[in-house]
Amino acid sequence: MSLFLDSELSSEVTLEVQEHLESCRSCCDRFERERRLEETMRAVLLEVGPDDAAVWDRAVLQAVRARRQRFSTLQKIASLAGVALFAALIAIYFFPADRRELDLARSAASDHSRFLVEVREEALLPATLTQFRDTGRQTLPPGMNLPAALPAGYRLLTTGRCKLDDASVVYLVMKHSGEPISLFLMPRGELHRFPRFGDKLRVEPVGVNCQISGRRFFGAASQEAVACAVGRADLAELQELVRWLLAG
Amino acid sequence: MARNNELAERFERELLAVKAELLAYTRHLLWRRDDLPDALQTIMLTAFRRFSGFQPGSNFRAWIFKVATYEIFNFNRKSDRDRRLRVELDEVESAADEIDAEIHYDELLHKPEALDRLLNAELAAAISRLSPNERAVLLLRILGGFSTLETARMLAMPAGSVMGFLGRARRKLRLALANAARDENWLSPAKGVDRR
Repeated sequence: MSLFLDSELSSEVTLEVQEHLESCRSCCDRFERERRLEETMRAVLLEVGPDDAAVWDRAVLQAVRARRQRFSTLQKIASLAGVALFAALIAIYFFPADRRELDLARSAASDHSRFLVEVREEALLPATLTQFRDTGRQTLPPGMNLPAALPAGYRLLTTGRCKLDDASVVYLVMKHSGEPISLFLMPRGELHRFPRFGDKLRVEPVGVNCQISGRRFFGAASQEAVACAVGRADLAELQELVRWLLAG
Repeated sequence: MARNNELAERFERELLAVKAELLAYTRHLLWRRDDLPDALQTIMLTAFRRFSGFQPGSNFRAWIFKVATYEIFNFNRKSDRDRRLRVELDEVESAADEIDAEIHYDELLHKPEALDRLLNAELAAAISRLSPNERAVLLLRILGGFSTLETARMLAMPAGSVMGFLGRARRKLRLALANAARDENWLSPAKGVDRR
């Protein structure tokens, strides 16, 4: 009876039950009463309390409003993210990679200094190239010399040692009137290839990584050493500085 | 923003068509009447969050009842009443009581006015004494009008289990109504079984 009431019987069985109900008054009567009971149950269950409808309306309203507010918040976040991205793109355009590379060099030097302070050794960070030559003589690779003095008008920002593959490299960061320029000097005998943009350098002894990168690059070699310069300066200035470095 | 407004309007329009049934379903499937505002809000928030993934033209009634069922089950799980009721329901009636009740129920069917009064007074209480699955299956059938297969899909159980729960739920309701009618002295004394 329940399955018939719920229309869950197959069409063939449903037909059989219907035929029986047509001929059996007792079953037909029972079926009608059960059907009426189901309808009454449904009607009783559907009766809602006086506050229930208001609770429903409030729940729907809050759900929709909360979602809208969330969308609105998301839109604000997206707008801010867009502005930040635009600002970042502008910053990248005006402050290109060579400046970041120089920051890395400064950071390496700073870590080097901190390392030396921590191990209570004599500070090797030079204020001038002469100091670097004097105090760092033992740390320079064999056969490698630095010029006696800086070119006229230049100021030394930082110096240090690093490795390119297995070759020892000395780096200098110098400044004239414009942007700083990074110079790298390495013994020719230790090199298996010419240095290029993107080469990773491991700064000794602190292990910080920096990179040969910048807007312009110029490299040259002498009998003993290879030198290169990167920065935003004119190519002629870079060439002059490389020649000065190799002459040392 | 226009798309969000359109989505919200469509959601509210679809809900309106199932409002009476879903509200009653939530109210009667919840163990605690006090949970209704929180449960409805959770159902609406969950449903609206997922509504953008709902395919227009598919069965919204089945979709929203399924969302509601899972949320209500979560609410009921938090209530310790679930456990207490299960102990009550484990008390099995004797065969004699059951036969008496069936006879009374049959008599009750012939007294529509008494039956109406009983349903109004006893139905909600009788349904609240069913097990969670019996309740869900019965309410989905009576209020949602879902078939056995639809209910099985909604509750992630075999169709045979749905039919079993539905049969047991109906039997328990019959017993509850018959017992209530007997307690009210609306029916003649049992005559089917000699209980001496």
